[in-house]
Amino acid sequence: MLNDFLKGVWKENPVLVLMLGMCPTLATTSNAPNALGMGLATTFVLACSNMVISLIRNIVPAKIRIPCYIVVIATFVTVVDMLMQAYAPAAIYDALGIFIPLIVVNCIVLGRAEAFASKHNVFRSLLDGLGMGVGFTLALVLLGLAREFCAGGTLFGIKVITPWTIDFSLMGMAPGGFLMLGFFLALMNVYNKRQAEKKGGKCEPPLEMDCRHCGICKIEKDH
Amino acid sequence: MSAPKKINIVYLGVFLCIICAAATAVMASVSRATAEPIAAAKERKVFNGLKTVLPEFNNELVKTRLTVKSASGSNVNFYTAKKDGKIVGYAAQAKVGTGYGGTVEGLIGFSPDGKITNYIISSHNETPGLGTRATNRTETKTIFNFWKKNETGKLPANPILDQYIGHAVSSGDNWKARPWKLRKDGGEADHVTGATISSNAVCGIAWEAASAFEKNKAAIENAASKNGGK
Repeated sequence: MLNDFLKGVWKENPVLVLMLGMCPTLATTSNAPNALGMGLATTFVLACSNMVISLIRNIVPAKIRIPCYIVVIATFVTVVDMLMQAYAPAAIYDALGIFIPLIVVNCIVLGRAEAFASKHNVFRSLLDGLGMGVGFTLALVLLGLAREFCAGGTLFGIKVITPWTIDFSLMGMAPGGFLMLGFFLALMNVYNKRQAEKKGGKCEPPLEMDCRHCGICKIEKDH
Repeated sequence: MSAPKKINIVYLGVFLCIICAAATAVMASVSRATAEPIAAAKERKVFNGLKTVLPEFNNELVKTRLTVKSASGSNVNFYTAKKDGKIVGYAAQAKVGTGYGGTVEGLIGFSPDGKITNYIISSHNETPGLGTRATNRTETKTIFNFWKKNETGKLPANPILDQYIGHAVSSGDNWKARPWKLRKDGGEADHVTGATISSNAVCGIAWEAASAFEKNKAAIENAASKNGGK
């Protein structure tokens, strides 16, 4: 049970291992507060949509499950957007509002619906959604902190190196996102390889990334 | 073999239809329930922005709104602030579509004699760290002062926005270029190096609002005395 939650945080981290959701990752990690906002909003939608999809998994015909999942996810995102706009404090909506429509096209949500929620019960799906969301948030905030620090010597908008006056603004823009993500992935791979060699085995991608595991292209069989 | 397949397609179509209908019903009901709070929240946001560019006032600001056409043909909203029946300032809400990321919208406060007293950019889509240096009033916080609260009540400084304060579209003003232009285009306004387009948009908003104010001053005052009450 606990593994359902923890695997999303580290072993199958959606950004650093599964390589899902690259578009919002690059777009929102220019600073840490934005990254945190995107992470939290995604976590919420991920947990809710995983639960609903797990609930309806036995009544949806296999052939049209993908459109059904997309409708469920899009509905959730739209409802969250409207509710936040109406009732959340203006400061929170100003910070998160622009990211919410982005979640519809975040492939983590659809990926977890297909790979996990459509095969497991509601409680495990909820845990999986929360774990993946926390892993996503963590990776995003770390990337955001690193880029923000390189760009202007700030962490969460607070200057830590006071004499720093030069802006290395490349790190705050799209190319910097690719560069920093590359460094993070390289570090992650080196670490995983070392760990595997210590145990005497080979470094293999997790089961979730294996082609045999994914069923997204198998639409010929019904139920 | 073909008969069951046909039934299957109809079944799938109907199923998808039901799912979409259910989703639409949920969204429609939420949309209806939140329409009013959303409109109220938007009003409140504009009002809070206006409050930061105006001096203290106690009339019903929303009722004094007057929309006029600017020099370039876009709409500029004017509000008149009164304290105990006396006009203490005006605020303009103007926008241009020529920012680096599309539309940039600004709120500008005017003193009763038509000089700009305050200027903030209320919504924009400029490049973080580059264009935002021309549009954002953010305090630089460091590890030494981030827990301290800003108690002066003043907005954080931004040299690009602050340079418009004190200017007016009148013959007595020392900015002679019409419309207001950046120094590199033969005008008098400064810009952020590397963010000329954003700086230009900031300059454009100031000109739109200030020129529209100069042209429609009588109408704005008239609207305020008719609808603004006390």
